[in-house]
Amino acid sequence: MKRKLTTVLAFGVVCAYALTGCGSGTSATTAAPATTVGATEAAPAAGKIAFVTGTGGLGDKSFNDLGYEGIKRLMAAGVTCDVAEPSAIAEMEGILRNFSEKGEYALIVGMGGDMVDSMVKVAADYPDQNYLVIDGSAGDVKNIRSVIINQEDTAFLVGAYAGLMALEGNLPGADGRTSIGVVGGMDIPLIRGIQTAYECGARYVNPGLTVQKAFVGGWSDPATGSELATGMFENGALIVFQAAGGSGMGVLEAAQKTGLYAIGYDGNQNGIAPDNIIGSGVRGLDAEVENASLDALAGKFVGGDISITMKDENTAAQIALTENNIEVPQTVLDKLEKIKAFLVEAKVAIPTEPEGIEAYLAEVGSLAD
Amino acid sequence: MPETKGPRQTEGRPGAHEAPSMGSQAHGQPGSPCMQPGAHETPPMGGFPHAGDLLPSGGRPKARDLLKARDLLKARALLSKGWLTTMLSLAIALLMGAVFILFGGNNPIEIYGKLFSGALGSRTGIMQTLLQATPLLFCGLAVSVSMKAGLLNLGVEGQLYMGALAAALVGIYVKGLPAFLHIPLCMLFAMAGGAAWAFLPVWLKIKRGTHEVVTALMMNYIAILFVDYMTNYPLRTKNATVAQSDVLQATAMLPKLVARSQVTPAIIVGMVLAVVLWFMLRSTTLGYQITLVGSNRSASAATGVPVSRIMVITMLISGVCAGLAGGMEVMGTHGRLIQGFSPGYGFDGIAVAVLGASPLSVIVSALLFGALRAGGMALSYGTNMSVKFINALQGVIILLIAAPMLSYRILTAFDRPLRRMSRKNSEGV
Amino acid sequence: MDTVISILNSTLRLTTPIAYVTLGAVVLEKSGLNALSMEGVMLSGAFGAVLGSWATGSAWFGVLAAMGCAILVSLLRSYLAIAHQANQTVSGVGLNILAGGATAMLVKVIWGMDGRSDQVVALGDWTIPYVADIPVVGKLLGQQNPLVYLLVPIALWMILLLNKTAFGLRVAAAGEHPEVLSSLGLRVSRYRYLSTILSGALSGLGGAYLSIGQLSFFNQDMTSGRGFMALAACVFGGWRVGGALAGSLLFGFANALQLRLQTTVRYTQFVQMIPYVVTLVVLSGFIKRANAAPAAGGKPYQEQE
Repeated sequence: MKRKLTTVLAFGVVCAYALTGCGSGTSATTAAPATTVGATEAAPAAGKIAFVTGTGGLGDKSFNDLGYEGIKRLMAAGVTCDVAEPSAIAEMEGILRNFSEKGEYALIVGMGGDMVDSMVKVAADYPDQNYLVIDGSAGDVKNIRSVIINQEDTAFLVGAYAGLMALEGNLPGADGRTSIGVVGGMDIPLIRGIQTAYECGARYVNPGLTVQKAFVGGWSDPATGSELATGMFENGALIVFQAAGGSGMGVLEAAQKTGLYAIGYDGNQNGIAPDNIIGSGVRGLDAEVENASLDALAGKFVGGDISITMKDENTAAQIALTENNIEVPQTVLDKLEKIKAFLVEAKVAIPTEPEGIEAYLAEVGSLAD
Repeated sequence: MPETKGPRQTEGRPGAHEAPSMGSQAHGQPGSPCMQPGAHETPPMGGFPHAGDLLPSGGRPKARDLLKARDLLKARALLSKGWLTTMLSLAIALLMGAVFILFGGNNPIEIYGKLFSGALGSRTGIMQTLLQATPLLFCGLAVSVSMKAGLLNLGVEGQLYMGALAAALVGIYVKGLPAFLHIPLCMLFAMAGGAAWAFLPVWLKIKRGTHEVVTALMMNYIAILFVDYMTNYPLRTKNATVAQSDVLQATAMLPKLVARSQVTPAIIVGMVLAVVLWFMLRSTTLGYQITLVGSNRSASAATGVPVSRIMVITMLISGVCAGLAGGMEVMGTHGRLIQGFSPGYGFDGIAVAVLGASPLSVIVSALLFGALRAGGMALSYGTNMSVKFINALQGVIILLIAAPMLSYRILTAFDRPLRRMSRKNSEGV
Repeated sequence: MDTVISILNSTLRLTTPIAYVTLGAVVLEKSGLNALSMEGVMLSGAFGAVLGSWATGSAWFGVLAAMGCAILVSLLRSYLAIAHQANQTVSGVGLNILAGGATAMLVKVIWGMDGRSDQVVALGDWTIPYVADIPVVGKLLGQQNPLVYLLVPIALWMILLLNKTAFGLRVAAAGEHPEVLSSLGLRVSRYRYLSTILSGALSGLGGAYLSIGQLSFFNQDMTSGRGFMALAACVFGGWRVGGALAGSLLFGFANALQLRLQTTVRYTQFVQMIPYVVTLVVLSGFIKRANAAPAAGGKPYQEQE
């Protein structure tokens, strides 16, 4: 119902801007050098969206690309969107200032927690400009909406799915394989949290399982990603989950090569190897970017911290099971629904560091109990 | 290649920007056409063929020697040629870049316009240029100094991280100091951190003959991983989704130079440092010894210069600059230590150092590369150009600057009389 | 036992790309050109492989294209260094930056994606009959990528070429005593160019193994420092083929160990340091001054008429 409403809203907004804002929009893009001059006159018709990626940039087939999906939908609907890809954290503030100064953006979207510092500073100087930061918390600032889409829930769900598929998925080649794996891009808090929640999820549904965890050490080294996954498969892993950005493609290909299984992340990656990728963990990043943009375009922007967990919104964590040739047994699907209910219930917080895993599992027990 | 036949040797040589390095070439051992002494060393480099190269003697005039040249007017004309060569290198690089742009289906004029306006067309653009130029300036100085002694400090990136770490530790944990003491203390530790990391490669080179380039590269990885560890665990600020330390004490933070920007006095510190280094290299005994070691290691040993000591000192100075680069980022731009905050400033420093032959011209080239970075940011919106275009352009610039004779030959191809004269002169030597 | 085999297998896969590039680095350095540009050359090779395979639909044409691409790129640098006396260190660094930028740009132009190419036809593994059936050895050597097998004859050929043939001696002379070569009436630049071509072809194979051997696509910056490790291996081996291969094997092993250890150790940053620390320690502890670099390495040479 909510989704429908926003779609209708989107159409209305888009039509309005197609009629009113279009002319000024195109003139602003062609007259690049005169941007500062145009700032004041363009200010009232703030009809564009600015999208600033994290330092990984577009093409990571993950976080930034997923956020960009939302932008692409806006563009398809006729909203003018400008994208900037900083290559260093030091560039972020300048980019945000550039966009803010133009005054022609209804919303400036920043991807990633390392944008927060810069955004808070810039937002203080431009109180009328609205901002959105994904996966970071700016605190109580009126013109910044901070959305943290809970990684742990999604990773937990993915882990549970992997654990269930290892247990009763009837996957060819599963005999004698008693572990699963997860390959992270770099050893950073975000990825460690994903790995930890993944292990929790897997062992919650399948206590006998061991989980192999490793990091590539970079976001654009698919060869090492492939090597890590291959090593895990040789070491008895049946399914390897990738949370490694550009390096993760190597994990997916390693699964294809060995004939075993992988799980994608942040975007539906199943089509890359339909026989081997049994699903993809998807967070609703793109929807958040899109919704916040539509809110801002409609003048209904609200700032503040928003943390989206399964508890708040039971679609926050999902697994994409389409576009592949994997037959998922009904029992697994049923149990996944139970897991989702378990996550919505959220009695015990999922740990973010590996030290917390044993205590967590001791407290929640296992699905079978 | 037939182009490189002997007679044209004196038209211009790489690395011929500083007098002593020219000397080494001119006075190379007779019969040994290999002009740089010392195995696998980095020849003094950078720059472009200066006026001196074109003088009849084929010798090694310093600027003051130039003034002694019989025909002052001619010298001045030739000096402008040297400048022209650099400009030409840049122009050729931009032309090649234009081909890239066309190939990608864009309009070069539009793209370069965007580059220019992004870097200098607005207040934020200019601020961004200055901001980007700051670490490049320090790193450029670090590389530049090392090259003067015939070493190449490829470990600037690691030294930068260690300097940043040291500054962050002092900035976070030392409390109760007034700013006028706290800031210098942080800077001091940043320098020490960088210098410490620079010491090992050169020490191993002297003691064990270890290839300093390889050692420095390995040390980069180790430093980056160590800072990764520190920002992920011991220093990590609570409840952040990214690996970063707490914010520094207010007394350790550099004030903002300009409101509504991140530009801090760090850029001025860098410029002062450049002047100090320039003066040191030009007018002190140490500077003289450094350039001597850089030009001819065995010859300077024979004249009693403590070569090993000079090499260590140079690398320490280089490490100090690199450490400051990291420290200034922590104390100024970011206010905290962040995992992976440098996108390779240490390597960009090589380009900066090559373009600016002396510490003073490093200022100019740091500003140029800073502008390039700032302008590059503007490329990503409104065009379908890959932001990587800036990297490609930088690569082309470095290649052309590294091969000054290429651009120079292109220039002189239109200048036949001068070439004939130069050829005649060199045959006379 | 399985773990040992798995680590050894991993070592083989991690060593192969670096080994090819290391061979390339040895030839290049021996002829008197420094090998700091290997990172960029290898990346161009990886890109060329995918481009060739994508254009023709045949992975082996991809391998040829990889060699061609890498040769072209390394010739560009050698041309500047030989004909225009470019500073080799700086031009090497410049080439790496250029290759990183240009390949990423071309990916966007050709495949319209940021950072990554389409998937292309990759080299299939070879299964060696009979060998594959031997219990332990079979698991290790029975089925591997063709480029893994090719490494052995190529390495042997390189040892012969560099040590036993007139060509090899002349290449060494070009790096050691170019004036001697010159006095024999031979052109130094000719041998430096020939070494460049050979080195480019070898590095191209290393790049191809990465992009269409292990994987089936190109990713920006996918060499991730392997070219520098190859340079380290070359220095480690004292500029000799055998030693250099041992160096790349050591690095491959350290890396395989590192990747495996990560699953059991808490602070992975220190585990990830292992290959670099090992290289550092071994380089500073084992290499004696006797194994010096080619005397005329890194320096421009003026042909005598």
